[in-house]
Amino acid sequence: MNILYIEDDPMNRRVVRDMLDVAGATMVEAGLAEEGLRRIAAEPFDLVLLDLRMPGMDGFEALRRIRARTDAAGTVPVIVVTADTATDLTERCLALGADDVLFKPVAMDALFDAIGRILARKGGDDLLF
Amino acid sequence: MIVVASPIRPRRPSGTGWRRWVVLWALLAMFPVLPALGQRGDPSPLDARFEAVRTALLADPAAGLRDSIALEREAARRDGPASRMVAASKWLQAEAHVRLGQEARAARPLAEAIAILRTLRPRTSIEGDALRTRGDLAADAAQVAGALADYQAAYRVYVVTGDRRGQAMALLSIGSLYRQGADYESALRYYGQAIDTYDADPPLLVSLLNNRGNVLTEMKRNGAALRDFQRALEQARRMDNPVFEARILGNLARAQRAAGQGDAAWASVTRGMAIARAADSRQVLDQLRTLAARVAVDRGETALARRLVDEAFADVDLRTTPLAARDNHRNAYAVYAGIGDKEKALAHLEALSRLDEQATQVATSAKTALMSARFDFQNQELRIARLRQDELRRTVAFQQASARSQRMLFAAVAGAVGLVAILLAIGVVTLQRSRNAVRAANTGLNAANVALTGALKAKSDFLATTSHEIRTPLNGILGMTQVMLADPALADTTRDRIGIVHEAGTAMRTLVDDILDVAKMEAGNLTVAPVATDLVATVADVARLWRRQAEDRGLSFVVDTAAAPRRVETDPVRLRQIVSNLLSNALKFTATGGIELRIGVAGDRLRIAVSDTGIGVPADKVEAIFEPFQQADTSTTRRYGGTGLGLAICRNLARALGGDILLDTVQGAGSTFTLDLPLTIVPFPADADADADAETGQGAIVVIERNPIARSMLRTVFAQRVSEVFFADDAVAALNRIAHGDVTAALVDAVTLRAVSPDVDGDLSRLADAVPKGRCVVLYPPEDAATVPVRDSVAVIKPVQGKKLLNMLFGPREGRTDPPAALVSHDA
Repeated sequence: MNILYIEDDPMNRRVVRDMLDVAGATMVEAGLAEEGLRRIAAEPFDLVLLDLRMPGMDGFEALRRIRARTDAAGTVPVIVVTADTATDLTERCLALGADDVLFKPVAMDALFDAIGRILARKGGDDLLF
Repeated sequence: MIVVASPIRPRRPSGTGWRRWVVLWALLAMFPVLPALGQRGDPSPLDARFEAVRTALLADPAAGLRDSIALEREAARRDGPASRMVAASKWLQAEAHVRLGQEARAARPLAEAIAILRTLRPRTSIEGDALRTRGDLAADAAQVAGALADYQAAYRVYVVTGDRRGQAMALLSIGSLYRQGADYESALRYYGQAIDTYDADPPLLVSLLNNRGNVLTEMKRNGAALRDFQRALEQARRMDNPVFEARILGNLARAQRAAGQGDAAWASVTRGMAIARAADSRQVLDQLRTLAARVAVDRGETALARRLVDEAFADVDLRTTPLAARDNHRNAYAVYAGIGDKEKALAHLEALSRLDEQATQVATSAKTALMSARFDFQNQELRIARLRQDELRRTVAFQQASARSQRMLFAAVAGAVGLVAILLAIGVVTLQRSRNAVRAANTGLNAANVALTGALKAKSDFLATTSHEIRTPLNGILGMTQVMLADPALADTTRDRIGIVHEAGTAMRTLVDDILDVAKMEAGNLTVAPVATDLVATVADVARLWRRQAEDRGLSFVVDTAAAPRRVETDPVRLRQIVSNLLSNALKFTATGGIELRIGVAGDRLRIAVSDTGIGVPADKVEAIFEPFQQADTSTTRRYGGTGLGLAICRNLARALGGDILLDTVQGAGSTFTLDLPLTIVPFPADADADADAETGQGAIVVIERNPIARSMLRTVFAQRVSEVFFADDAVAALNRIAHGDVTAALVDAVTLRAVSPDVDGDLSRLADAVPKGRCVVLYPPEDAATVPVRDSVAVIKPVQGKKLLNMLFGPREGRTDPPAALVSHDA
């Protein structure tokens, strides 16, 4: 399982990398939204984890651009991972096409649960075990 | 209103400097009026000298003063002391004094000039000019009634002499008086009349259009205002006067902004600033800057706006700005308030309040004076009319007698009218004063409100930001403790220690969440989202978390949901939060005995009660504990920990859900906290079709799979097929569960089983026997392609399509009783 994490804070990236390691998933990291979008265009991912507050392009814009793609990469499952606690944040993200929103500090179980759930739901006929 | 004093004359503190500007302009406009002086005769050498002095006076008033005194002497010698030229020279002297800032000295020569001119026939326009000069002086001294009288007198002279320009200028002056008194309708009338009377003089026309445009802007008639300013602008450009142009562009920008033409306003104001900068006119530039800042805020360029408004008020003492700066302060306040700089906004608001008061005083006194002047004027007219009537009708004797009695009657009427006027004036002043007081109080109140709202918002923002900032390092702490605790190879002592770090981090996260909730509560942002909720499942879920902790402490834990409605409309997240909080408290404050969680219905209310046998709450603290940051007493904080936020949040949430939290307690014996909510039962969706029924929620499946993501995927995929997905860590647990009954299938991940089982083949056989035939599916990794399957189980090589897996576990069987042979390999 190949997961892309777009997040500017290296500590957060390391935490999630180690968590995904527990579940045997490999992680590719991108420190900026622009870099993340480039990687999405270059290789297929099973899932994208996305931070919201980043220098330069923010997560909202990155999400818009991902969903604006007309190829398969445009439908990649996206989970927003954020420390932001604005009241309508979840709605905004879901409205932009995110599949789920997780709040920092990340609960490992919640992360695995969300990943599994979303992959299972979105997998459709292509879902493999 | 772009207001500026003449660059040559000193500024008056009352801010009526714009009239000086009009006078300056009036003087300029006088230029071509040669015949004003020498009427029917041929221009004498003195006339030429008069012209010369008048011109010189503009540039060098001191020299002009000397020359006009010399001229007077010459004229007195040639024509006598009461001659026209003498009067004209005196008038020039008065003008020179004014322009030298010596207004007091101008009064006498002016009075003498007027006295002489009054007696001369035929009348000349210079009499009008002198009257206008006196009017200007009066207006500057805030003697509005006197100013009005002089202007009106001047107007009458100009009518007699046929001097249309003079008439226009007198009308302009009168209009400006009304404008000062905030009687815009009248001001508009006079300006309009002035333009109609004479529009052939460019500087005068520009002044009229500019003034009228300002009044129209004040009256919010933006379309007409824009037209006037555009016309004024064309004229000013033709005259090649950059300062006028800049000021008119400023007025134009203001009107465009009021008319909603943001882009045009920006273009005008930036053009005006460029011109003002080139013309080195700091005052105009500052006014344009504040206006430009306002427009910049409209366009969302807040950084630029701040820079502009900072520049405009650099090294200006806000407490001593004159009335002319009122608009600047208004603009500055709007900009600073818009960009959130409360301190500066408040400072400008105070300045504005001070100046508004001043302006109202000026306007009030002007208005009062105008009103009384109007009465006086009307009285005079009335008197003159009546005297004329009498002269026509009677003989001298009768006239004298009746005139006398008429005069007495008249004086009485005049007295009464005068009295009424005075009473009205008093009434107006009192009204204005109380209105001012109210307005000042309102401004003060608004300012206080602004400040208070700002402070509350700042506090909420601080709480929210702090909690946000703390989450990031917490992510590092809790993230890594979770990862470490997930490592089965972790040494016991290390596990204990990391467990402590994890708990501490979790406590911190709870605190941060609570603080954030309090911030949201105070900002009114706490939201609830009612949906159809499985009440029993939600509450059982929460209870499960606390049951283990309670049992670890040796407390009994009872959950009674027998009387609970299955589906209700409420916010499950908030419900969980409240119940969790109540259970946490119960656990925290109970050392022996037990905890009970009961759901019940009372009439149309839903009751969820958490009872404990703990320390209870003293009777006098029953309300206080629901306050934020309160606990029963500080010793409880030390002994039991906590922030004291939980119950406050619970109560707020309960209220947001339409209910409340009730407390029944006996100190030392225990407490029962009851969450009381409105009961809205949601019926289950009426009909599912038979097929759906058959597919959902039947039996259970046992899964041996250790990968958490895989577990989550399987749980999701199996959710529709079974009512329970049981994850077993090893074969023993799996067989145990199967023994409890209702299990229809088993899924085993070979890699997982190999890691935990000493006898893989044996376990697989037992599992296959325990479940219905052919319903034990074993997943092998790709490298195991050559493995022989264990009997009775179905072997599958990964990867396998989800659909196929479901079919194997739950789909219709083909009726064979023998186990399927060989390896079944499925590809993607």
